Amino acid sequence: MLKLVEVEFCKLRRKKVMWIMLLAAFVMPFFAFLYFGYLGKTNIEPALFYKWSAFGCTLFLILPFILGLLSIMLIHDENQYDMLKQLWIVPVSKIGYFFSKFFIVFLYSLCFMIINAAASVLFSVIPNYVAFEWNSIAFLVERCLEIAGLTAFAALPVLAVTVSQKGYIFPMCITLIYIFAGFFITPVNSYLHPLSCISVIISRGGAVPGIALLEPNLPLAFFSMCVWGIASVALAVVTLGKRK
Amino acid sequence: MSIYFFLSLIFLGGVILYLLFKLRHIYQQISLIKEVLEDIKAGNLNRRVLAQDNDRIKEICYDINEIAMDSQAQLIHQKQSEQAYKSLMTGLSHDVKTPLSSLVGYLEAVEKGIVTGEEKEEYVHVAFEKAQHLKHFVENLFEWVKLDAGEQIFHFEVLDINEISRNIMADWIPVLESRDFQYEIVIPEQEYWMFVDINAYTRIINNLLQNILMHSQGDEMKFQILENSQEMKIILEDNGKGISAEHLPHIFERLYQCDNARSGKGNGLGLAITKELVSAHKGMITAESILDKGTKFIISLPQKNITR
Amino acid sequence: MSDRIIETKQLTKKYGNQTVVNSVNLHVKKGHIYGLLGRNGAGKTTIMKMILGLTSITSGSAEVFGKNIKGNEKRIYPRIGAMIEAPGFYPNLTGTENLEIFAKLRGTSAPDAVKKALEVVGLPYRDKKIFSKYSLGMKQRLGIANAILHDPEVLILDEPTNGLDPIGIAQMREFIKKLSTENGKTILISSHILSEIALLADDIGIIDKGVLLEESSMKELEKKNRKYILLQVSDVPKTILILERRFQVKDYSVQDEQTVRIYDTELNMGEINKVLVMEAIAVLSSGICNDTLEDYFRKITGGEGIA
Repeated sequence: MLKLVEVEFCKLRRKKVMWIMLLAAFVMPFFAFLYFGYLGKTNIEPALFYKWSAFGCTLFLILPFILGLLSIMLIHDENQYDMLKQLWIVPVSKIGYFFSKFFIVFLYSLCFMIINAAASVLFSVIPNYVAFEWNSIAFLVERCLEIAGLTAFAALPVLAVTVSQKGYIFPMCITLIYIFAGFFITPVNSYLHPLSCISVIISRGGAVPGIALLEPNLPLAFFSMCVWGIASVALAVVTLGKRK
Repeated sequence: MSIYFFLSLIFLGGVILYLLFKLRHIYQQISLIKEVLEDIKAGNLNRRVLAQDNDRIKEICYDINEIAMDSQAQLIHQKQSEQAYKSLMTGLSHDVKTPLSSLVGYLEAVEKGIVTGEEKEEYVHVAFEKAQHLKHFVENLFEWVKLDAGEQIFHFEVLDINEISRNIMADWIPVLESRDFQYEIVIPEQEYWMFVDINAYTRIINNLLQNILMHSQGDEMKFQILENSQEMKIILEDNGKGISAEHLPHIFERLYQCDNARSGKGNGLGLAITKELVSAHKGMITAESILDKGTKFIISLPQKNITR
Repeated sequence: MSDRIIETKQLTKKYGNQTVVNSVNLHVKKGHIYGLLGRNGAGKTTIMKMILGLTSITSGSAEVFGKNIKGNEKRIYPRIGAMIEAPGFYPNLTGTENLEIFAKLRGTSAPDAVKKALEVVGLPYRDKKIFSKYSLGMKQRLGIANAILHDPEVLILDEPTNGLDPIGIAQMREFIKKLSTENGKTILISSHILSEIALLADDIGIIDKGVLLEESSMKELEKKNRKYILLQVSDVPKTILILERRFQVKDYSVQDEQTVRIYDTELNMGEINKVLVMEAIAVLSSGICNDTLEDYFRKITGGEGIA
C-alpha cells in the first residue's frame, strides 16, 4: 500500500497543472479581500471574513471542483495511455489502486486548504481588516483541515464514477451535477448530500455566522457521509473488477 | 495524567501492530524464497525472487538470483557446445560422404570399363582431384581438431615479422599474377621483432590469401602491415563480391560456408583455423565487408604477445 | 515441473454472439519460442489477454505454469513479462522513471535491473527525454524493457515489431532470439508477418478467424518447405556421376545410401529420370519439394495467405 502511494507520487512528476490548480486556493480569500475593501470596514469579526474566504464558496464549489478535476486527471490519464493492463499484471490490487488514488486526493485536499487558510490570514491581517490573534487563526486552521479531510471523502463518489468510466466527459458532468446538487439541496435537507453534511459539521456550535442551522445533527451528518463513501468504494470495486 | 497514559497506550498499540505487520511481511518473503529455492533445486534455473526496495532480505534475494543466473548461463553454454559438436559431426559426415560418393562413381566407371580412351584419362583425373580435395579436407579437419583441443604445439621464436611477411608474399606473387590479380603490398622497411611461430604465421597469411583467391571473385588485393610500439596490424583487402551482413558474424565458425553451395570449393575450415592460430598468438582477427565492394580482414597481434 | 509453460484448453471468447476465439488449444513448451501467426483481427491479442487474465474467458481454460491465473495472481504474474499491443507509459516521465515505477511495484531481481533492462534494448539510462517525446521504435523498446525488467521466465509479446523500421525489426529479432538461446526464456510471440515468425519461432500456431488451424514445430514445417529435388535411387555413386557429367549438377548432397538431394531445381526431371533408367539405375522415387512456407499458409488459410 505504501509502495502504491509512493509510486503515485512518482507519477505526478512534471505535472504543472497540479500546481496551477493550487492557485485556486487564493480565489476566495482574494474576493473576500476585495469585498471587505469595498465595504471599507476594519476590525471585522474574524469568523465573518473566514466564512467568505474559506467556509463559503471554497467549501461548496471550488474545492470539490478541483478535487473532482484532480480525480479525473489521475485516473483518466492512466486510462488514456493504456496503463491499466500493465498495472494489473504487475499485479496491483484493484482496491489498493483505488485507495492510493484516494490518498493522493486526500493529501492534495489538505495542501489546498492549508494554502487557503494561509491566504485567508494574509488577506485579512495585512490590510488590517481583522486583528491578528492566535485564537482565531487556530480556529481557522483547524476548520480548514476538517474541510480538507471531509471534502476528500466527499470526492469519493466522483473518484468512483471516474474509475468506472473510460472517457472523461461523463465523469466531468457528474462532478458538476454533484457539486450543484450539493449547492441546491442544502437548504432543503442538509443530510442528503455529503457536501452539505460537511457544512453542517463545520458550522457546528454556531461558530460560523450565517450558516448556523437550527439543530445540527452531527451523527446523522457523519452517517450520511459514511453511507456515500461506502457506496462509492463498493461501486469502484465492482466496476474495476468487471472492467479489464 | 490519564490522558497521557491513554496516548502512550495507543502509541504502544500502534508500534505492536506495525511490528506484527512487518513480521508477517518477512514471513511471507521467506516462504516465497523457500518456494523459489525449491523450484530452482528442481531445475528451473529461470526462476527469480523479486525483492522489494525496503527489504532487509534484498541482498539474499539478489544473491539467489545471481547464482541461478550463473548456473543457467553455464548450462546453456554447455548445451550450445554440445549442439555445435553434434551439428559438426553431421556436417562432417555430409562433407565427407558427398565427395566420396562421387569419387566412387568416377572410379566405378573406369573400373567397369564404361569409359575408354581419352574419356577414361579424364575420369581418372577428375577422380584424382576429388581424392586430393578429400585428403586436403581431412588434413584441415585434423589440424583444426588439434587446434581446438589445444594439442597443437607451437614453437615461438623472436623473428623479424616484416622479413617473414616479405618472404611469404614473394612466394604468392607468381600465383597472383597467374590469376590476373592486381596487387599492392605494403610492408615497412625497418625490422620489427615479434615472438611468433613461423609456421603458424605463414599458415595464417596463406589461408587468408587462399580465401581471397578462391571466394572473393575480385581482381585486386592489398596486403598492408601497420606497426606501432604496442601492436602490429595486418590488413588484407580485396575488391570481390563481399560477404553479406547475415553471414559476416559466422565466417570464422567451423564448417560455415557462405554460399551454401556444396560445390566442392573450399571446406569451411580455413578461416576457423586462421582464427585459432591468431588467438594462439594472443591476437585478434576481424572482418569488415561491403557487399559487391570487397572484404577486409584485419589481424592485430600485440607486440608483447608472449610473456618471456 | 511440466514441460508446458502455457497451455490453453478449448479456450473460447465470445462478444455477444460473435465468437472471436474458438476452442483454441495452445501448448507453449519450456524454452521454446512459440509464434502465433495470423492476420490482424484473427484473435491473437484476445488469446494473449485471456492467458494473462486481462479479459474474461467465455469458456475453456488457460493455464500458466500449470495453474489458473485467477486466484494465483501474486504467484504467477511476477514470473511473466508481457507486452500487449502498443505499450502505454506515463508521458510525463522519462523512460528510466517509468521503469523505476514498475521496478518499485514489482520488486527487482538484481540491484541494477532498470539499467540492465535499458541496456539490453539499447535505450539510454537516466536520459532526460520524456516518454511523450519518444519515437515509436523507442516506445516499443521501452515496452520490451518493461517486460524483461524482472527477468521473468515467460515472455508474452504481442506484435513486438509493430511500427519498427527494418533495422529495428532485425535488431528486435536478434534480441528475442538471444533471450531464448542465451537465457532460456520461454517466449510467446504474435505477428501477422510470416517471415518474421519463420525466422524466429521454434513452434508455430496459425490462427485464422479465431480458430487455431495448425500447431506444429518449425522443423516439421521446414521439412515440408525446402526447395530441392529429392531422388531415391538404387546406385548413388553412379547417379552422381551421371548428374555431374550429363547435367553439370554441382550443388547436391548425399543423404544416405539411396537418397540424393539436388538443390538446383531448374533441372528437367523427366530427362534425368529417362537417363537414369537407361543407365540401369532404379529410380525409387523422385520429386520436387518446393512448397514454400507462404504457399503452405495459403493452403491452410483457405487461399488468402498471410501478408
